[in-house]
Amino acid sequence: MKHSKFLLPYGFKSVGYVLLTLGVAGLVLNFCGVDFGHAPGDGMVESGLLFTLSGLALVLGCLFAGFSRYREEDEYVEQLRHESMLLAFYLYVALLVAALCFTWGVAYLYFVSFGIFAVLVVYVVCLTLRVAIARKSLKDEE
Amino acid sequence: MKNKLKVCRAELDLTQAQLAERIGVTRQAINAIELGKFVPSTVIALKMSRLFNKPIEEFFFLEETD
Repeated sequence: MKHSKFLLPYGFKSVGYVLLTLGVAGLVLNFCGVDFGHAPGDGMVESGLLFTLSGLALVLGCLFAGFSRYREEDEYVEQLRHESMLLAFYLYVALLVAALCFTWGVAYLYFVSFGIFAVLVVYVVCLTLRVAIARKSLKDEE
Repeated sequence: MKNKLKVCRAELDLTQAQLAERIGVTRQAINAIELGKFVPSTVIALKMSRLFNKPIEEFFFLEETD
């Protein structure tokens, strides 16, 4: 049976989870004030290297973890993938609406940039949870 | 859509895992179909039909709301 040719190979999944974990850890550390070096920029806004690397790890981690095949990929997993993507997109739109209605200036920019990450993270979390729940709920009648 | 996949599977004395392997899907998919959480594609339905040696209408039924 043919499945989406646009999914990455299964091997990317574990790499994705490792990158995702590193990215989240890096961003938490950065939020706590830890940083080093300077990322290349336009000189107007300074950005630490830890933040840039963590952001990259988070985005690539989400891409690899969320858009690589499962070992056993079938149309049920495809349905879970599709539903998770819809949920993530709805959340993104809700965040965007909330940002437009309730935030201004720098806070608005922070909120929108959080939304860019959130759509990917929510998709990965939702898909991973739903696949795990489906596996756990198996009732074998052997 | 309702189904009596479980009955057909029992008639052939197949486990969910064995049925899944025979038609090339995951065990989660078979479980989800039996629980009515997932409606399979025509390809899977036809594979089941061939395996059970029965027409599709004998194990998948439309409900009034469908």
